[in-house]
Formats: sequence, structure tokens, C-alpha cells
Amino acid sequence: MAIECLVLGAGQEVGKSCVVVSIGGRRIMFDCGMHMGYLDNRRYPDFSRISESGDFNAALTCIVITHFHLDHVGALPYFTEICGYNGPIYMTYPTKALAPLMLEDYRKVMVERRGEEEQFSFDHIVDCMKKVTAIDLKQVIQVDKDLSICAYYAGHVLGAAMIYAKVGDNAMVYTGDYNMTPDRHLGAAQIDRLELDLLITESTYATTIRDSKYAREREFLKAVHKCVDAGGKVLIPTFALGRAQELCLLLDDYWERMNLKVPIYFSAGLTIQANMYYKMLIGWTSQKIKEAYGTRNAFDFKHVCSFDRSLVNAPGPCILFATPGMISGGFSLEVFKQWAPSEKNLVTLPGYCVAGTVGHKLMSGKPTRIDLDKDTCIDVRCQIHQMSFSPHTDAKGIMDLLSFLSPKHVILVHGEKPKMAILKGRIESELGIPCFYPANNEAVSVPAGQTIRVDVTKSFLRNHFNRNFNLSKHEPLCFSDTIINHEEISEICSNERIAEGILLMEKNKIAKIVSENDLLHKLDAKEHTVQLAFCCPVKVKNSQQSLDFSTGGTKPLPGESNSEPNPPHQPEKLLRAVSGFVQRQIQTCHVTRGPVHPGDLMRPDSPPDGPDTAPNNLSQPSEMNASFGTPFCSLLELLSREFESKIDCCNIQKTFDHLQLKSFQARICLNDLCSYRIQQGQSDCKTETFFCCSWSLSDDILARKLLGIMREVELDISNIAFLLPEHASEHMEM
Amino acid sequence: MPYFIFYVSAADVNGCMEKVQPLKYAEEACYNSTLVLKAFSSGLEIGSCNWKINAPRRNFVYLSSSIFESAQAIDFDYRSLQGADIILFSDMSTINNIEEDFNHIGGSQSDVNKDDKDLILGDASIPRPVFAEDDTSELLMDKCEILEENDKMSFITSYIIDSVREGGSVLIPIGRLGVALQLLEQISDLLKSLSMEVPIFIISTTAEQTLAFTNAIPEWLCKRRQEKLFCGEPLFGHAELMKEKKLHVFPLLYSSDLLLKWQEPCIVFTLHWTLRLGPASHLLSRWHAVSSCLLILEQGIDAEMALSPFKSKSMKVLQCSFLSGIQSHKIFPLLSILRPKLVLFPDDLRPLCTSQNSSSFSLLFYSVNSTLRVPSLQDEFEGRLMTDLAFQLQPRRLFSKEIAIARLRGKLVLSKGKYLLLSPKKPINLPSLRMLLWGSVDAARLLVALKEKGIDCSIENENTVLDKDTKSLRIKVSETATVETNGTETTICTENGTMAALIHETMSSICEGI
Repeated sequence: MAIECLVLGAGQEVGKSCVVVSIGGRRIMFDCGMHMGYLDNRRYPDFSRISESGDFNAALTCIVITHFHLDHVGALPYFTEICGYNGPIYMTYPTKALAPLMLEDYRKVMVERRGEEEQFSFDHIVDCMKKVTAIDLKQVIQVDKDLSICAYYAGHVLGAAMIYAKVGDNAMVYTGDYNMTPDRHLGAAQIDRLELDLLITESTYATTIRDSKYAREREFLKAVHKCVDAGGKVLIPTFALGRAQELCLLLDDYWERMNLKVPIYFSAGLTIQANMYYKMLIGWTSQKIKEAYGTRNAFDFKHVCSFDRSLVNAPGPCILFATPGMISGGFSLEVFKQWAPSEKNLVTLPGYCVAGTVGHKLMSGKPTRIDLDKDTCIDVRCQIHQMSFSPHTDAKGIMDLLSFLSPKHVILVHGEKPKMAILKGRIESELGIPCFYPANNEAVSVPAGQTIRVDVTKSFLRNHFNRNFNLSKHEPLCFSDTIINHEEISEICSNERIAEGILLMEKNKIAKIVSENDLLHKLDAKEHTVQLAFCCPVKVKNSQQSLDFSTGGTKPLPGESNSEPNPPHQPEKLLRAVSGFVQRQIQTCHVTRGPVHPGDLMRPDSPPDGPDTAPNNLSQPSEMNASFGTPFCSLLELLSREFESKIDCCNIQKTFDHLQLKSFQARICLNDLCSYRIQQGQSDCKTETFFCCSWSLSDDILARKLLGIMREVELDISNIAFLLPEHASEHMEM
Repeated sequence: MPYFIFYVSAADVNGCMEKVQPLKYAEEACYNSTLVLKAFSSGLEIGSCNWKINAPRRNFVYLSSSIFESAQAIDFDYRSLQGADIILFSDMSTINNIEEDFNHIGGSQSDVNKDDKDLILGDASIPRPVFAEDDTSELLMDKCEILEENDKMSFITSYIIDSVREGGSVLIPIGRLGVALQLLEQISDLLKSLSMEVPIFIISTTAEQTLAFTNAIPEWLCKRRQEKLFCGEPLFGHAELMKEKKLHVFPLLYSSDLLLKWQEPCIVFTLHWTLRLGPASHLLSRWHAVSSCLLILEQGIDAEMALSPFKSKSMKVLQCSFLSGIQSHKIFPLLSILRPKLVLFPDDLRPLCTSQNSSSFSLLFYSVNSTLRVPSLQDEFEGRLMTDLAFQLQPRRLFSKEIAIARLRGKLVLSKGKYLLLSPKKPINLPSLRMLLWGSVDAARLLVALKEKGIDCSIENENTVLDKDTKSLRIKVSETATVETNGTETTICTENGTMAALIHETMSSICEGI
């Protein structure tokens, strides 16, 4: 199942953010913004691409708005009230509270100042907002049975959220605009480490790395202070919300500290009213402000005075906050016209201005003249200060977020094409994440995993955890590639904890993952055990003089007299003892089943001829261990050392008469008639010792490797004593 | 205060709170990737909640005192509690009313069902209402509750105003914050509409912070108050009252500022509702003998006991009960809408259970200080299998039953209480041979099958294993291998891996396996 992402706005540009994502059969519209730089039909996203029939209710599951900026919410009333979308709309509490203010402010500017035909009315805004469901951060909203969404703190502006959306197994995040560093009134973006198929991120500052904000704030304050000291007027064009409050906090604080009396004005009741909202929504601001509000609400500004239009040309210095931010029209443009011609005055510009606005013209070079339209041109002699503390993340922030979340795919929006291309390159090369930056009206499809609901049985889990527990108890079994370069070996013993089981599918039932025992139980069947066996000859090299042990048809045993550099104490006695043991062993040489898996021991049908129960096996292993263990031990020890040197494993279990690796067991076989001995040509009795091996099917590959080793090696028993563990030589004392 | 020992210091309280992880409603909190905890509003107070807890094989709801429609907090979000297997019902608010309720439905205490059997049989005389879900939610969300509460509030408010008119002061010990805020709002509204100027005091060390807080938490308040946010109005009226100097907030009773503002009659909200602590006790000693004064007490406090230190009491006492949980007639309709399999119900509330209501789920009764063992309702764990892993499987249908089986190897991950099987990083390399065989292998058939594969083979000898009746057959396969089988187990003996695999393959073709 793929996730399809149709970019209707903010594709390779900044403005009219709108992305429609199809995920797991649901279709979500993220943001519904307008472009501030256009007045024609390019200002809205091309909604017809969502549904040709225009039935948006059927085409979309829901709309989620990330924050109240017009380039993210501006087209919403148009979409709901004119285009007729009626489905659910989600935004955070602050966004729901503040978006109508922004919309109404914009509408007024458009209609009253530009004299344009209105795209939507005040009632439209009110009706539109009625359809909005307000959500809190981190609250998991169940949009329908399958789709859930969750908002995370994004910084940027009050109430800005990154949106996590999940349908079944597929999950994605749409960041909206975000800020990875805290500012004066907001905290930094915060998100959980989520498993994501797709991340859609803004990339306004795709290539910029910004320095400390503190220095930039000081610069701004210095410029403002200098201007008012010289009797100039400062025009701060801003959005009514967000930047205005941040700068106001900054100025209010500075005014307090410097004991300044110059009035600070807000151009409209809007911003004053906005402060009211900020006070109520203080829970969404930075930690510092939140902690202090019990005693004083930081948005109760001390130095802000109410403004009257007549004050524009009043003598004396002042600070004026005016909307809109990019001087695209409205009151900020009106004041700009009057204040721009004086060198004494100062205009501060936001970090980003959309092309086509006066702000953008002022930013690009230092114009002395701005032609507003055919009839109006403005002489620009005032000072211009560009504030670069935009509440957007910089390139480092984007990369940090991406490496933190490591999504499977990334789509860049809300940025400039050339910079996006550079960032895409970085993301793909540094993080290895496929990245796209589609243009408007382009769609990108990314693959996404899916899962099937299954039941998992206890016994399957128990087997898995037991196995892992055993694995972790010993050091992990792994084979060094330098010695044996067989992929299968490293596969069997790889570190990745692989669970093994059986998927059981029954008609009209949820599929079930079961253990082998579960399956047998379910089928009411008994396991037919298949065991593999081979009695394998191993060459034994004896550089020193060897003793002939042959008595009564027994196979000669390599001389244990040589196992001690000094001749052992009672060679005859040892000899007799060995032959006695061998006699008893002769009758049968059974394939013995040691503990293969912990689970096997619990099987009711486990064979009765295990080493402990076989009638012909030694009834008193401890006695045997004490008296006869040594020669076998030493050969087994030698063999096990061979294994250990050829394959990198340290969990070979050794007992007095056999060694075991996983289910593979090898014991010395003295029975010439061993039924697992398949004679191929003549074996050299003097130089070969037989090891009777058995193993279960599951370890066949391992066993074949071990057999291969056994065939190749030559056990050198001449210096066997050095190999003997301390306690083993004690056993020699008879 | 000699009677009170302070077991914890402020530092202890702060230290404790630092260990608390705050959650939003419906926020997923994960513990050890096993437990997923979610809180949903219960409507009782600002921030009060019910819990939904999911664990592998278990999920349950802890249902505490809840109010369907609240005047301050977000309403009881009961729909989000749907679908849990077990509900631990812990709303004890009706416990005082049980006797009344019983008389009401025509039973008496002696009829109380004492064992589970009776529960199922029930009393046929009790009418058995059948609820459709819509009807039930209508019943649950009926306006009666909040109207009743509002009536109660209006009555209390008018009573308070009457007292003030007569020149008596009113003492309102703060119990539940929501109740106090609502009273404050209603009293000031009524005073305003009557154009009466009576000062209202709130005396508490935490009052200022609490009031500031209540005006900054729109997300936690009821719809009506949230609307105020969207209209740009303060969430509660108290900020305005303070600005208009109608409401005075002081941390302590004895402060010069308070004495300057103090005038009687007045209305005082203060601590503590036991009347043993805080300014309440001091004000009570000042007013208890004044017959025009009024004390508002919440039900649940033994008024006589509370007032016993004040012997010559002539002050009026209005004891009122506010809704503090699910009303008893709504408990079972609510439970039926939540569709649990099992409800753990307090034994003390057993009288509320009648046969009518336990139809769709079973009930288990718990009582204090005794452990109740809850049966497991799910045998298996919930898991999810990645489709890309599923596509690599080779399922095989079994002839006999309508079952298909496939070997599976995958990476097992536990996330949020669910097991997830992912494709391992390396290809999964499922064994091509059947590793598990079942049923018996007939030596003759094996012989034929091996020959069909073009392998030269013959029966070598027939052994009878000493302690068993089963015969063990030994087949010699070409020169390099032997197969020994006794019907229930087989040993393949060869050094040649390919030959072993071939024999194994032949075996799997003549018996079932995977």
C-alpha cells in the first residue's frame, strides 16, 4: 500500500500551503492556505484536483490546519463555504481561536482597502469556524475507526502543531511550519520518536544556518533605541499575531529595563484583543512565561498604549506595530507611505517577505523609490532594519528533526526550489532517506508497509524468549567469516533475534502464529522425529610412541600413557579399566539424544533411549567420569578445540563422554559394528578414532560443517597433557 | 494546631510532583512498550479522568466517579471507554443513596441479592427496560442532571443573597473547586442583577494562582466555556470581578490589606471544609453565634460533628449535596453501552444489581482488602504480521482439514502492547525441507518412494528393539546411507548431506509435515 501525496500549494514555493495525502484509504488535507503574493485564481490551491465532481465531502476524510497564518488557513472559509466542504476540520485550540481574527483582518484589508470583491464574508468565517473541532497537543483523536491524528508542539507561532496521522500500520507527520529553537514566547518544537513512512516538512530555510537569536534581538533593540533617541518613528509591520507579541515582549522588557517612556502603539484593536487570547492560551507559550503567569501574565504589557489614527503624524518618537507584516497593503502600507520619506524613521522588516509585496522590494537591495502602482510612488529615505529572527527552523533544525525521526521518506514543501534541491541532496546523502520536493499540483507516491492482524500463542512467545534467553546467557554463537566463509552459517547464528514459528490459517478465523507443539496439538498428531547420525572417523596423530591397547576385538585407543609427559602411575590398571568400559560399550552404540532444545525435553514423546535411560549406557556416569573419563575427555577436548578454532563459537558444551553444539552431539565410539558407521574403503585403525555423531534436522547445515572439519583435522594427542584441565588430571589418580 | 500532624513537607510534595508525568486527555502513555495508558475526562472536576489501560491479552477501564455534563470541566467522555474487556467500576458516589433507591424500586434491604445466582435469576417483578444504544445515550445525556444541579445552585445562591440582605455574612468552605467557582459566578451574577454591592472574599494561599490557572486552561473546560475562548472572553468571570473590586483575593486572613477591605456582611470562600483548619475555623468562631449568618456545607460532612466545638451555634447551616458521580439509574445503561465482557463491581453497591442489567456482561464483586482474581478473557496475544514478510511465506493447505500452514521466520518486536513481526534485515531463507514431520512412516512406502527417485535401496535387516514392540526397519540406501525407522521415529545415517536431504525429502513426501 502506497501513500500518495498531492501538493496543491507550497510546492517549490512559499505560500498557500496545502497538501492532500492519501494514506491507507483515507484522504487528509493538511493546511488550506492562500498565497499572499497573488490576487488572481493562483491565490487559492487548485481544489478541482481533489475531486473533479466537486464532491469534496466524499473525496476527503478530514482537514487538519497546523497554525493560524493565512498561508496555512487563508483558503479554508472559501473551501468550506464556497466549495462546500462539510467534513471534519481539526486545529489546535489557539489556532481555532486566532484563525478567525487573521481571516477577518485579511478580509477587511482586501475589501475595505483594496476595494476588491470579497471572496468570503464575515459570516462565512464564522460558519466555517463552527465546523472546526479544537484539539489539544498529544491528544490522540480518532477521526474514524482507522484514522487517528495527534498534534505535537511546533513552536513557530502560538498553537502551531506538527500533525501525526496514522491509518492502520501507516503513519506520517506533516510538520507545518516549525521552529527547533525556543524564542521569547514559545518553546521549541517537540515530537516523540515515531515510526514514520513519510515526513512532510517545511524547508523555508533549507540552506541557512542561523546564529544565536540573542545577538539578533540585541541588534534589533539597538536599532530601535537609536531611532527613538534621535526622535524618529519606528514602524514594525507584523502579522497581528505571533511576531507582534514576541517583539512586544522584547520591547516591553527592554523599556522596563532602560526606563524608556516612548509610547508603543498597536495599530488596531485587533492586536490588543489578540493579547487577550494570548493570556488565556498561556499554556501554549514557553516554559518561562508559563511558570511566571501565576503572579503576572507576561502579556499584560506595561508600556503599550492604545492608538489613534491621528497619532500617525503626531510629533515625537513612537513605536508602531501595524498589520499586515509584509506591507502588502492595509494600515502598514498607509503608515509606510507617510513615514518612509524621512531619514529619521525606521522600518523593520520580517525575515521573509513574499515576492510582490513592498516588504520584498525593500529587502531586495536598498531602493530609494518604490512604485506602488501607476499613480503612486514612494520616496524611501528611512532606515531599514531586517529582523532575521523568523520563527522557522533552519537547515540544521530540519536535519536534526529528520535524523531524530528517521522516516522512510521525506517530502519537502514550503521552500524555494534551488535551496530545496540542495537540502534534498543532503538528506539523501547524509541520512540515506529518499527525498522529494514536488512542485504545485504534482503528486508523489511513496511505498508503505502494511500488516495483517494475527494472534500469537503463548508457547510461540515462550519458545522465542527461551531461545533468546539461552543465547544471551552464552555468548552469541557466531562463526568467523575468515575461517569458514559460508553464509548459511552466519545466517543460522546471526545476532538478529529471529523468531521462528508456524503461521496457521483457518477458514473464517484470524491467522495464528504458533509453535510446533501448538500445531501438533491442533492437528492432534504426533511428531515423527527425524534424527541424523553418522559415525565419523577422525585422524589421530601420535608423534610419540603409541601403546597398543587392542584387547578382545576392541578398537585400539590412542595411548593415554602419552597423555602425560611423565608416564602415568599405573598403566596396566588404566588399560584394564578402559577395556572393561569398552566391552560394555560394544553392545550398542545408540544414537543418543541429548538436550537439543529446552523444549524438546518437555516433549512427551521424547525418545526413551536417551543417554541416561539407555540400558547399555553406563549406569554410573560419575564413576565412569572418575575412572575413565580422561582419555575420552582429552580427545573430545582436542576435537572441541578444533571446532573452536575453525568456527568462532564458545558455547560448545562438554561432558565426560560427549560434546554438544546446539543439537549436534559427538561421542567417541569404540564399537566396530556401530550401525552408523558406513565403511568407505579401508580405514586405518591405528590412526583413526570414531566419533559417533547425531543431530537433529534443524542443525543439519551446522552438522555438515562440523563433520567436514572432523574429516579434515588430525588430532594431535602427543601433547595432550597440556590440554588437560587441572581437575581432569586428578581423575587419573586411581 | 495540636490535632494535626503534618506528615509531609512542601518539599516532599514538590518532590513527589516532579515524579509525575503529566498527560493530556487521550494522550497515549506507554510503559515499557507493554502497557498503554490513556486518560479520558470524567467530568467530575477539571482534569479528573477515567483510565483505559491496554496490555497484551488484557485491557480494562478504570471507571471512577463521573459526571455526564459538567458546568466547568469537559463532559464525561464515555464513548472513548467503549470496547474494553473489563471495567473496574469504582464510582462509589451512590453508596449513600442505596437505601433510598431501594425503597424507590419497591425492594427493601432484606431483598438485597447476596449471591451471584440470584443475580442471574433476578426478580421478575422488576420491569426490564430494553435500551437501544441511541435511547441509552439519550438517557445518559439527558438535560435533567445539569438542570437539577442548576436549580440547586440557584436555590443556594438565592438563599445566600437572602442572608446577605438580612445583614448576615456567608461562609462557604471550599470543597470541590468546580462547585466553588460555579457558586462564585452565580452569586456575583445575581448580585449584579440585583445591583447589590456585597464584597466577596476568597482567602487561601493558593487562591491567586488557582484563579489565574483556571483562566488559562481552555482545553480542560466544558464546551460552554471553550466557546468563551473562541469569542475572546475570559473563561471565568473572576478576573473581571477582581478588576471591578467586587472580588478580593487574599492569601491570609490576618493581613492589613484584608482589614482595610473588610466589611460585613460579606461572602467568604475559604478553607477548610472540615471546619478545623484554615480561616474557616476563625470565621466560624466569629459568626457562629450570629443567627443571620449562613454556613454552606457540602453533604458528606457530618454537620453536627463539624460544628460541635461551637456550642452556642445559632448561625444557619445549609447543607447541600452536589452531583458527584454517576446516578444509580444510569450505571447499568452506561455499562451496557460500554460493552465490556466483565464488570468488576463494588460489593457495597451489589444492591444496585438486578437481573435486568447483567444481561450483556458478567459481574464480579470486589470488596476492600480482598484480592479478586480476574479470569483471563483472551487466550492469545494480539500480533501483527508485516505484509512483506507474509508475502515471503509459502503456505500449504492440509488435505484433511480446512487449514493452511506456513513456516515463519521474522523479527519479533513488542510495541505498545502488540507483537509485531517484521522482515528481518537479511532474507529469511525459509527451510526448503519440512523440518517437522508427523504421522507414521511406512518403511515399505519409503522404499518405494526412494526407488521412484531413482535411488538404489533395499531392506537390510529387521531389528526388534529390546523394550518395545515396534519393529525397527533398516534400509540401505545405495552404498552411502542407511535409514532406520520404526514408524514413529527415523534416523538417517549418511555423511553425504545431499543424500540426507534427498532421503528427508522423500520422507516428507510420504508423511505430513512442515
